Amino acid sequence: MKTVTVTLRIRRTSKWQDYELHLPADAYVLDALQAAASQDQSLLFRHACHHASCGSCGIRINGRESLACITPLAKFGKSKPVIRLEPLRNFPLIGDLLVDFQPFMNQLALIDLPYARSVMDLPAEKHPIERLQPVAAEGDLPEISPEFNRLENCIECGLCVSACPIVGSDYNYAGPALLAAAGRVAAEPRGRSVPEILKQVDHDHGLWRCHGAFECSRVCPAGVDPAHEIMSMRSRLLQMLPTPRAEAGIK
Amino acid sequence: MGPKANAIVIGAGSTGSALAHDLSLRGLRVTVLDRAGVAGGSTGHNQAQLHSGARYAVNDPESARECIHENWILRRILPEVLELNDGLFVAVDEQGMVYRRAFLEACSACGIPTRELSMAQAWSMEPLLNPQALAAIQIPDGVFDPYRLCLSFLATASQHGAGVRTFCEVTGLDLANRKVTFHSRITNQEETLQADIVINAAGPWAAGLAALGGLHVNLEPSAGAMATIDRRVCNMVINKLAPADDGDIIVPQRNTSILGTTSWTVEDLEDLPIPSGHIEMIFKVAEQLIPSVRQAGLRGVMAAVRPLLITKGAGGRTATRGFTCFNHSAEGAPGFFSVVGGKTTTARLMAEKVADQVCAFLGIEAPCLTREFPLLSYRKLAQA
Amino acid sequence: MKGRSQWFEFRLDSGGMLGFMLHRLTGIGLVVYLYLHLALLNQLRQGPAAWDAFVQTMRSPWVLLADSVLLFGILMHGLNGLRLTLLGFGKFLRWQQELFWSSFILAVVLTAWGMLAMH
Repeated sequence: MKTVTVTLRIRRTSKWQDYELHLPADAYVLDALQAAASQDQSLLFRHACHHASCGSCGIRINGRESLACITPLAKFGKSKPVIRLEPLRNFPLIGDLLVDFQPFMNQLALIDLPYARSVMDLPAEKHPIERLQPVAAEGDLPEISPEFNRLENCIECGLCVSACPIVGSDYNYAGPALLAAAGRVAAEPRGRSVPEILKQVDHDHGLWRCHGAFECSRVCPAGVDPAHEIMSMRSRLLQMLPTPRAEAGIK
Repeated sequence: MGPKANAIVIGAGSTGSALAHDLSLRGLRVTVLDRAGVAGGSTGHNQAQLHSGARYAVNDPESARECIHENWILRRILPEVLELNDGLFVAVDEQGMVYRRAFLEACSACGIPTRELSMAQAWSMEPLLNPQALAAIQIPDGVFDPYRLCLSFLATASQHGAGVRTFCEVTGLDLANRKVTFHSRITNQEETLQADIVINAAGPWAAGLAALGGLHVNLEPSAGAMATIDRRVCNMVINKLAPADDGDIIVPQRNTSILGTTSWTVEDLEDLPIPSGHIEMIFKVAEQLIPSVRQAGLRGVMAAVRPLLITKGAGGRTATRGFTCFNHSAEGAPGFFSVVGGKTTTARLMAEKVADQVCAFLGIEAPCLTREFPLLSYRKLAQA
Repeated sequence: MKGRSQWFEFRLDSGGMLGFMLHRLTGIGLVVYLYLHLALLNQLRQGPAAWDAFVQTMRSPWVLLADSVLLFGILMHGLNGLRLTLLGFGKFLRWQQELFWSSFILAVVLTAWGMLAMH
């Protein structure tokens, strides 16, 4: 197995610390981080799923927001790269690469996007897909949707929040993750009021505070495209405005 | 009225999280310790399959019955972090067709509902399924998000008074006084906690943890590799209809699919280099089920350790996926318990059985409430 | 000013961030220029001789260079502003990076043309 030597340069609260490590060539930054942690058990960082579904290993790698678990070491060139690791911005720092996600989760709870969606998006959409007939249902189970369902794209990793320059300067800005969640509720309301949810984000520190840096969509590892959600909701809100004639009561 | 007793649970994976929830509901004050974040061990990077039990029906019917029973319960108490599209067992060769009869009978014996589909129906529901497939049987598999599953149990537990202390590594066990010494990586301080009950729920690390106190736990950790591709190639969990073997499951999750898994014995829990050839083997089998997996991009590769029980003569893939609770009173450590084995699908049941033993030991009358108690949103507990 | 350091980052592979940053730099630059412009126009009040002397100074190569920078600033801010307006209404979102680079290149080209004209 081919191995590589990499140096992780990790931001430890107020200084940088280097770790030289030897790893298989096809390993990921998270593997390197775990190797560093077995040398130095005081290193603080989060990880869980190792395949970009839990969203817990978000950090900045060479200044760019990324998930450590799916960033391959091969990306950094062949000859002994030095890889800079820093925690996400715009989250309260606990230590090293570990940030506090509770405030972010509290924010998302305000939008309360149900975590399972009912949209199918298989590549072979031309085939008519038969609706799912669940194989069995126990008497007192909640009604199983006859449509296929799946977990939302957004893994709540916070990369977009860290990358957004407005979140950094406006502490009241709703932020791309929250706005994208609102966009998803507006797209699939399931009985909730769309005007209500739009009203929740239609204010100076909500939808209109975005200044189009588009960094959120660029760093998102899950295909959420918050920028698109934000601009679509703006479009939608503008279409909902009454025309001057309607306002004047002219038919 | 104060708590009935204090308990320390070591491990914030599915076992520890479900235990914290069960014990809290029974009125104990629980503190959960984990040297990493929530679900940083095996639970975090498992293949995320909510088992119907069909996979185990033929060889391990006891596990199979537990799975289907818990499957229904989890659908009731944990609706938010599940994809509920059932699953298919698909025969791609003669071996599968031969296995079919035993499979159907075993599922029926274990109470696992099945429905045989015509291939036309199967392709209509799963257009990317192998056009050469011979048979398809629908079973109530599902998909979960392991991290958020643990967070949901812990969020509910914390609402009932449990404390979750992540990044706290246990450094010592004082058996006589039922004290746990640990080092907080956040504060860089040593702390000691005393409790009436200490439960070792550290998964594959349970043996090493028990050894800190000179206690013994029968573990045979076995690792498995998985590969995640960058697109969702199915809506239902696709299993190969054949005796259990490597790489025979495709689990869809969000806009990706997880292919897996393999098996090798593990020496060092901290270092899991995936043996060469495993990922290729996974793709080889997966493409028998859904040929277009080869065209997908690779999103990530991961390895997880199964905390298997040692049973006489068995090993690796055929070792039971059941679980057991060690009561260390026999080793002179009353109040210490270790939970070993199992899988996330049956975590709630494991917790129930252990909590029953714990309450019996303490002489507390407290029935299990977790079968019906709906869990809180995972967002209510981010991280400690 | 905490946090505003995130505004000025040279993420060279991100058209969106470069556009954001340049929009702010040119915006600040144009505001500064506006004050300068009004202050210097004050020269008009000093009478024709002072005005002629002032205009002579303004023909020095350094000032013409500064004028070119100003021209770039106006063009960049204007074209990017058009881009942001379109994107803000949800149009052409998929091409946001291409729109930035097109605006940038157009601004550079027109500035070069302007410099030639001034020369």
